[in-house]
Amino acid sequence: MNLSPGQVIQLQDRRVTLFYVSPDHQWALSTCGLVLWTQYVEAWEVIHETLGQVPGVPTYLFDTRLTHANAPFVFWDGPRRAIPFELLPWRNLSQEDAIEALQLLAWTISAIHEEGICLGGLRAEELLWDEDRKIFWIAGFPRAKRCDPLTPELVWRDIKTLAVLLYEHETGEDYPGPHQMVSILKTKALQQQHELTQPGLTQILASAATPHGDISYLHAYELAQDLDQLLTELYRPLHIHVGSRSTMGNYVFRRNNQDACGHVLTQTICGSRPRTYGFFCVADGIGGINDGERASNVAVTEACSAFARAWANFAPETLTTHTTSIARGIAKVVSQTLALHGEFEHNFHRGGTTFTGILLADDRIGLAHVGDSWAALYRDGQLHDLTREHTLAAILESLGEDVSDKSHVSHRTISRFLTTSHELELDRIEGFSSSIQQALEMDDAESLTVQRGDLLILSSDGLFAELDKQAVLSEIVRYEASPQSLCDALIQLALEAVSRDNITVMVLLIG
Amino acid sequence: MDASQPIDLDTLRGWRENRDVSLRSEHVLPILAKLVGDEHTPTLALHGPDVLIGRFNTQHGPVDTVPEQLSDAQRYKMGDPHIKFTLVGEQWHFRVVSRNHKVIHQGRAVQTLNTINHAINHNDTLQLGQCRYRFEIAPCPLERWRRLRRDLLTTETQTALFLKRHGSLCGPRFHMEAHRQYILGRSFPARDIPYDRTETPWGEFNSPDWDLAGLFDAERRSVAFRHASLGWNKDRWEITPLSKRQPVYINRQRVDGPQVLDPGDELALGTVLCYFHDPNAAPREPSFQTPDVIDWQSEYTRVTKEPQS
Repeated sequence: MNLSPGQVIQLQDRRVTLFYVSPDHQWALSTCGLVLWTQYVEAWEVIHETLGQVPGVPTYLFDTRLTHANAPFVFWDGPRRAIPFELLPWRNLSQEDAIEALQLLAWTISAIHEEGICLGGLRAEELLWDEDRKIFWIAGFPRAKRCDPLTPELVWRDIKTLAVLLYEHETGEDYPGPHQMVSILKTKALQQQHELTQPGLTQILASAATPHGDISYLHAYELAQDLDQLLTELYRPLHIHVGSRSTMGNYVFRRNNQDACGHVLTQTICGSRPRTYGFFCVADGIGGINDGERASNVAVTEACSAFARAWANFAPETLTTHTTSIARGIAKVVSQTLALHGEFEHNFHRGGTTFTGILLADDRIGLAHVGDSWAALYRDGQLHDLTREHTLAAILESLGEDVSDKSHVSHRTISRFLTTSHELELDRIEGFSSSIQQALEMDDAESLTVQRGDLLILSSDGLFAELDKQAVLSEIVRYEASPQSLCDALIQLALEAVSRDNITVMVLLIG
Repeated sequence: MDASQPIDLDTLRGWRENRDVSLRSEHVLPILAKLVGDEHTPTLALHGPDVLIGRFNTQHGPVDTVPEQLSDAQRYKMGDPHIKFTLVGEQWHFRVVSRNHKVIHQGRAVQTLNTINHAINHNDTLQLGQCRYRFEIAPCPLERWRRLRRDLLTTETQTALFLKRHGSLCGPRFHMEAHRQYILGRSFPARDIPYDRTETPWGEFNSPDWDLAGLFDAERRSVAFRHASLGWNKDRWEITPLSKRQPVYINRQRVDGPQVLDPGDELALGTVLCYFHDPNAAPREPSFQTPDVIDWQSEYTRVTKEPQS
């Protein structure tokens, strides 16, 4: 069905004349303030049908509790769980959610303005809150009209409500009115009294929440841009506290330490945007005495170098959206470097190493894992394994064999590792396995979002050769606020046992 | 960057690989049969009448097809090699070439004696270790396949090494000119190993004359960075292994020193197989001996972390 301005359509018992249709048919405005939304052009075909009785087409009729009777409207394939603004605990929303929602709303208004239409002053009662997506829907345009040209005052009328909502959210107070707002913004003491200390916030209020004047925004997108800047400046980055320790173990059994660990942590503030990136890894050498040590050392240094190259050359968004792909890529490059050493250094051709690395990009982590080292997440009192052992025992177990005897050689036989003899295929470098994704309810395989208070623990298998999970958990509970103390305590506890193997522990506290 | 795009490993490694994309081009010869895997097992295509399948073990020699993307348990139960398929006339046969890895044909366990050929027919079920397949014979008759292969070789007027994949020439080739010397291998950084960390080697790399860095991941793992040199000696081509880690084989026999290449010889760099084509000689396909059954523990499980004392 082709739609065009001026077209009359019949909707239930209502005759509606369209006076504007968006170029992509996403929405249309009608003479009586009816707004039709659709994501599918085909859906227009069924508008003639009784709403809500069309099978297979999700339909949302606006909440009847909304009392603003002047704005009859219909959503077609609109939000499923939307509530009127009146029912939204607006001031309790997180700062990030609130400002992002206002920012998107400002962009939307800007897009409507570009079509030569103004809203005639948006009101909070005309907004619906989409709880799933945490965005506002403009539910009605009862005063919408064509306006050519679009004057600054018309812009101000349409975006003023956004600034008002921002004020109410940030201060927790009712909006005092435009003239009182001017008084507050003129006096430092009053600004502090109303907790308006963030310059970006006062700038927005002065440009949109005061009466229209010279400093008002000329375009809605200027508000969107300022909200973006405000969000950036208010962002509190995660702080990463790292502890690590490695020991040779009992000298009766071991003559050197074939474990290695390392990390690179970068924190930058560019354009007011704090960013935290890091790579953290543990490697447990395999092979002759010297070759195992060399292999793990090469793996750790090459991994940190590769991360630095990724950090220097990839866009921040790439690091954030490809955390596991980059972590696995780093492990692949480490594998190639070991193969290069194996071929070109004749004295170093028997070594291999396990490798477990975590890439941190802001609040997301990615994983690369080969071998029997261990990575885990401690959250809300529970310890979640992030890795699974690549050992013969694990294979035999998957084949239904009894491998409960921990002293059996299959537990020490590694089925995947990085080696100097050849490169490991990329698809054999594991990220988050499907069982781990399921257990941690991850949205996708690429990244896990970390929270303040999380602990990430990396260790070589030597730790569990001496301690069971319960003992490790007890120490974590005791020292969870201090990563270095936790590392020291775990190593000390293992040393007090037989300590046959090298032991390495690295702990990250997300603060 | 699109989330589905692979990460550029050159950025991570700090030097560029010279990856020839044509090495991954589609197979030019038709499929003669398929091992159609179940939902847990990728399908294998047989592009030639003699195909050895299994994992690659340097001591057991190259294989024509290495099953990829297997689970750990499937890999563990896959022999190195495991089975050989042969097409004689219109009848396919298989021989089991691993003592420790089972083969179940049509629900019956097959004795692992490598001297017995078992006939296999269209839609027969076959289990190799933990991998379950259905054998599917393609409609291409052997005579047509032979004609296409002959055409491919006769249209090539230069001396060349043809890459082989899944049992037959697959298209990509490396041309050779008399009196020249070539290095076969894959890209490696233009700096000393171990690295001199004061250098910034971005972008600099050494590329052998035939750079195989563009092969599939599972293939190139058995190719060394400087694998072999190919030289002209007394009017004949001679191959010399350069790598101590990755072997060179001629007609499935390992060579440790300079070795003459005859027209029609099959050269293997690790498990990457090539056919040596001389336009002045009649094309031929060497027949190779199926390896004896070897009762060694596989390489896959050999690395064990033992206490040092």
